[in-house]
Amino acid sequence: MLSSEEQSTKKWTNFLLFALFLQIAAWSYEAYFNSTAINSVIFLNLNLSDQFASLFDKFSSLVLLLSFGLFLITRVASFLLVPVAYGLALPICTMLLHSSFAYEFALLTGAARFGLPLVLYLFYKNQEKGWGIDKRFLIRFFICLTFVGHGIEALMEHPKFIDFLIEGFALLFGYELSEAYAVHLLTLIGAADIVLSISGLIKPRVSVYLFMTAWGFITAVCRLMYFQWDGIFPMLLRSAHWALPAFVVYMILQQRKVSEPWKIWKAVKG
Amino acid sequence: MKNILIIFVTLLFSASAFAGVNSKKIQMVQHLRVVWHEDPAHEAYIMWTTDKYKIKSYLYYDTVPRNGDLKKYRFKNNAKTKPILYTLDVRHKAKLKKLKPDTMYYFTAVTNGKKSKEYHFKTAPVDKNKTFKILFGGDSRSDRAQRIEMNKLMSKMFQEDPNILALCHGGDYIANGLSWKQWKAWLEDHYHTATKDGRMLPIIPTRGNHELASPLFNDVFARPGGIFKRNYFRTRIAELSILTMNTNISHSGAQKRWLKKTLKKAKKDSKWIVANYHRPAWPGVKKPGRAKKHWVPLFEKYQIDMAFESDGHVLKRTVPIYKNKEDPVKGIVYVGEGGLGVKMRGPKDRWYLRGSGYNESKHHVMALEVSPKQMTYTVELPDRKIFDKMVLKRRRR
Ligand SMILES: [Fe+2]
Repeated sequence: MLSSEEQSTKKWTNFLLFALFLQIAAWSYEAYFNSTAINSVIFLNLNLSDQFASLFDKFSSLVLLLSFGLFLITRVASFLLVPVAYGLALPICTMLLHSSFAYEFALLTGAARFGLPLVLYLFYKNQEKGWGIDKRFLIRFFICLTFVGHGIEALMEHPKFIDFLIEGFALLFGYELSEAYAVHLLTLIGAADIVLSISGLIKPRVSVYLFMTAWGFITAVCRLMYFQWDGIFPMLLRSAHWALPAFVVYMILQQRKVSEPWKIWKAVKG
Repeated sequence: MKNILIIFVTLLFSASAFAGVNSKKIQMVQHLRVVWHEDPAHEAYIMWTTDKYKIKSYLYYDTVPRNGDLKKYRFKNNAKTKPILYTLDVRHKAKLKKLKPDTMYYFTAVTNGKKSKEYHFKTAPVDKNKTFKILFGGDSRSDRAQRIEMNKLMSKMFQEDPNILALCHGGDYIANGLSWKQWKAWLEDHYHTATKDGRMLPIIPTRGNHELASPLFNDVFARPGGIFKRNYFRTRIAELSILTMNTNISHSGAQKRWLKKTLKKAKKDSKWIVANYHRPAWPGVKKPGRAKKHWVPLFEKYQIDMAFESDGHVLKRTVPIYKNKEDPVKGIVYVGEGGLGVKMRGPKDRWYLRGSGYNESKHHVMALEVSPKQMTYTVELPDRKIFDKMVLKRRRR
């Protein structure tokens, strides 16, 4: 029999697995029906044929789904290394494509996406050790990289973020935000992303990670608002951005023995 | 924040440029080019590169050939010099104003006594009855041999058809917009577009995603759009308005407001309106850019004649599209996708590329001929075959 603590840890680990499933579904969809940065690198940088590049995309899409399915059946941790490798390959290829590392933060912004399967791999490789302090730190580290990456992009006035803000204000408040105000707001958001994620890395606070969960969720869902149905997979792709901070909140509460969700406010104050 | 970063980097590299060049001897005038922005009937930028700062730089020009005899030129312009970011080279920029429309201008650039060969270019007409042609194309970034081939093709077209005025380049000139080495190669290759007797093909520049936010794009093309508008601008040639936009910045903010205002103006003062930008709204390969959400509704509302897109490395033409559907009356045709020196992609199937549309893996140069009664769009392939021809009649707006 599992203790209640072990049971809830299992539930939350399954929650992370579910987030990974959403992410893999999105990766697979994009690779199968659209084209990826890996495709472009194969075609342009490696100078192989377009058909081969497209075939590689379709193949990797199937391998991603298959490896995750096999993991669910066998619980062999090594299958999780496939999404880790894929999650690393995507930002590296994006960087190679633009040939300019100064303007490309894909490796930072994508950290949660390869970090999520990596921490799950480490957990399942040595399950009896549970979610030890090293893995908890690693989760916070990947969250930090992702938020810092997005924070830098926000400070650099990423045009897509400006458009999201302007469109979001128009939809939610019926107010046309000027580009200058959107840029100011983006600077604040970028600074907050960086400060909060670093402070969370140093000292995990429930309030900080609750905020990051909410913000990670909002920024993922805003894709749906902006692109409508085309935004479903970009939204799912960002599941790690809210799932990992939510998991950290659970970990902190569990450490403080706060088992009832409604007592969360107590933990926030503490 | 971004501005502070840019100023810091600028100062850093400018200082290194000053420090490194004093002992060097100036070399020849390189990378001569003619750049057009908003009013090519009356204004043009003549730009070039040398390698020494603190020098006197002039452009001598006239409406008749003077074969480089500096005393004979009627006009002289003090060129502004500026060290090019991250490099030891210097950019020279002569802004020619109050030019006569539809007139050939002959020029020689002189820097510290070293002079260039005499080249010439023709200003744009203002006469509404004049027939002229503009070349369009994009993506010349990663196959230099092919780029030179395409430039030679443009030179042949230019040589044969004096109605050709300029090249509207849709962006992704080079792979890394921060690499001056790559820009230099592109600028050297651009000489291949000139005619045998030295007529230069002016460039109407567009920022592509490979130009990033690089300041070198502005160094090379004299900051199109000016200080406040970030590389989006309208080029007016007689009855034609080319609206060049920047898909590397916000699509919904100031640029969209400008687009709306400019379309309103163009509706009144231009018979023909075309849009030109890098990332496609109706792509042949990738996913649609944000132009689809923010600009296409305005294109449809103001009934522009057609849109030129780049980035995908295919040759495409869409069916006439209006409100996400094929509409032969109100629909807008989107063409291009860039094939001036890149490896071409295999075609993908999209609903808007069937029927009268197509999606092909072909290097190409597009030409738009504007005459009083119609516009004729043609696509020429490297083997000199005309692959596509489409006649556009005046739209009701
Ligand atoms: Fe591009």
